[in-house]
Amino acid sequence: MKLPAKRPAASVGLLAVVVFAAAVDLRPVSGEGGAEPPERAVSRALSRAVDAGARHLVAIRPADDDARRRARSGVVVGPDLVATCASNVDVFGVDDLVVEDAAGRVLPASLRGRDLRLRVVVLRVPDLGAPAPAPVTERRAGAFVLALGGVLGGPAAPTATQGVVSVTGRFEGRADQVDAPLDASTWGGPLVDLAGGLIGVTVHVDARLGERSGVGFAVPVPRIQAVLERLAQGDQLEAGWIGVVIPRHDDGEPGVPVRGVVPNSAAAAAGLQTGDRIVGVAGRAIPGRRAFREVAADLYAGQAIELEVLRAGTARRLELTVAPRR
Amino acid sequence: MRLARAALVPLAALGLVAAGLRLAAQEGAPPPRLALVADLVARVAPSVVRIELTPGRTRGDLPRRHLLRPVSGRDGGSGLVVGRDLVVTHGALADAAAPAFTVTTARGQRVAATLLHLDARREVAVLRAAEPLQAPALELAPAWPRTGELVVALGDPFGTARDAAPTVTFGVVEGRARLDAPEAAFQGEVLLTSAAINPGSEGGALVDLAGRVVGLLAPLARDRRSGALHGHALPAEAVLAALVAAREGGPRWACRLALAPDGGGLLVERVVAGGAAERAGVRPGDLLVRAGEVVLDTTDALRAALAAGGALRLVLVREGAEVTLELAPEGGR
Repeated sequence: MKLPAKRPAASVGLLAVVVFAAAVDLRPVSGEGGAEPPERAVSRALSRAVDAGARHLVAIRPADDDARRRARSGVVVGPDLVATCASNVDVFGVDDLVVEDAAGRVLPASLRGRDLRLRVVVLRVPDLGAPAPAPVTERRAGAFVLALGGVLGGPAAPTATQGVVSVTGRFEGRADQVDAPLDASTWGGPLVDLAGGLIGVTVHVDARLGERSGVGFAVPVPRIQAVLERLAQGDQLEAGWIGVVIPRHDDGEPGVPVRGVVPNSAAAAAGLQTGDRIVGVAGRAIPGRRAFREVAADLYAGQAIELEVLRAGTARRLELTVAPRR
Repeated sequence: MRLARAALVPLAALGLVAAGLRLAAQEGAPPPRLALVADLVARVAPSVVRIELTPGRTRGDLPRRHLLRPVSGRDGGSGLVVGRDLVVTHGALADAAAPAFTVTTARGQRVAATLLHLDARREVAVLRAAEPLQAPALELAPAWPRTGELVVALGDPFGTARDAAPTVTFGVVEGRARLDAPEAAFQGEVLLTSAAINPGSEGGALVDLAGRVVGLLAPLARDRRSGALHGHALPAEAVLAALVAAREGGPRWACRLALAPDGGGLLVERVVAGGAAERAGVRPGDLLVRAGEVVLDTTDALRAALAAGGALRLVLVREGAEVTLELAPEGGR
């Protein structure tokens, strides 16, 4: 089924301006010298949020694409390290890449690791450095966000679309959903809050959604940072799989009961049995299904973890090596 | 450039919002924090529930090869808690032939529910949960929102919420219109909104910035005349009418009330024809002050007074003068 695309959000803006301005206490903010008209204060607060966020913004393109026709957005996520949406580098089709930063520097970049689950790749860009990170102040559902793009005007003149966080922790925490319009000019770029704090890297998820559906996704930066070292080394990270069947709903007791163990899975190799109750994974307590799914979603193939289980009332610890998913 | 312009206008909106909330413009000021919508969502979201049809399709245990699975539209949708055990949802989700549902609240409470009333004309279904819901009842807005009013849509598009936390989108009321959509049975005026609505959100809430329900999210509809795809919501009054009709015996005490601006009573906005309120002589514009000995400072107070049954002396203010009306014993709720 093709999901219908929503019409552009642009028409919204002007009305929102008028009504919201009327709805709230529009008291002029005093600047350096007395009262300042609200429009001016706005413009300054706004440009500051975009500026602060744009420090993380870069454009990535094939080295021979001097006209920037094929540029895509990227985010500085660590010293000399840039993350972007995996589909961005896939469309390049070449490995010889350059990164342009907000200061206009064009630096050679090498493609490093890829996280197949987060749909994110990491590039190493020697001499790029890293901006001081601004803390994220608001990431709850309903928080206002800006999605920045470095394609149309280059990273020195970012484009921005605005929206709210629709829901956090979608797909077992792999993505936050936003209603800001995203498209090829923003995918891979930063999602920032009103203080310019870096929330995530926007990703292209599903073409069926349409570019203006009001459904967009961003991978939270902490998720990327948790595996950044390995990605910087060039690792290909694959989703991990334990091989345990759990009920669809919590039963009110702490932990999750094991409904079944998939033959030849990591769980079977570790000796997990149907009827066991998983109460801890990799050092984290498991109060219920949700926690288990979240922890399981953090696991990568090849990772060695310890399971804490209750078997017939007795606590046991099982060593388990996470297997690749299929 | 189309894209750049599209980007600029909402940004300007955001900017004014920021000013309105007195974001400090001084150097070194704390980072701006605009919690208006986020705070509202935190308050309202617990009352938006997920509705599954029973027996439903298995979703949770399928291998997750794709982030988004196909949506059949028959798998379920969203609903609103409007009473201790009452939930309303969009009529498209309800089928009188299979009137069993499972309601999941944001707290994870799962309760079986039955179809209490399907108002096919208004496309509103009223469900009764088998036990009290651990979620506060939402308040219905007393009047249509104005065009341009900011609204928040909460629903569960695609049924992907892991813990029944609804998905939030933000926009304005674009206006009210009579859609000419072949798939829509509702013939009255609907609310159009710019907030993104996607399949699975139907039955969710469109709320104003006070957190009151101004509309019940409806399935996307393509207007036959313009061909445009509309995210729209049924007006709160359709929800209210369906709730009234859901009560046995049709409309009994049926009028629309708002708390008076100064809190000194209940202001009658509209009186539904054929209801007990009309028979007793209540008129729009009346300010209800007392029912018997009960001071009417909330709608709950009136509800409690009416629930007690028996004849009731209703004291109200009409055009500055105090008027007393006798409510017949059958006056119900």
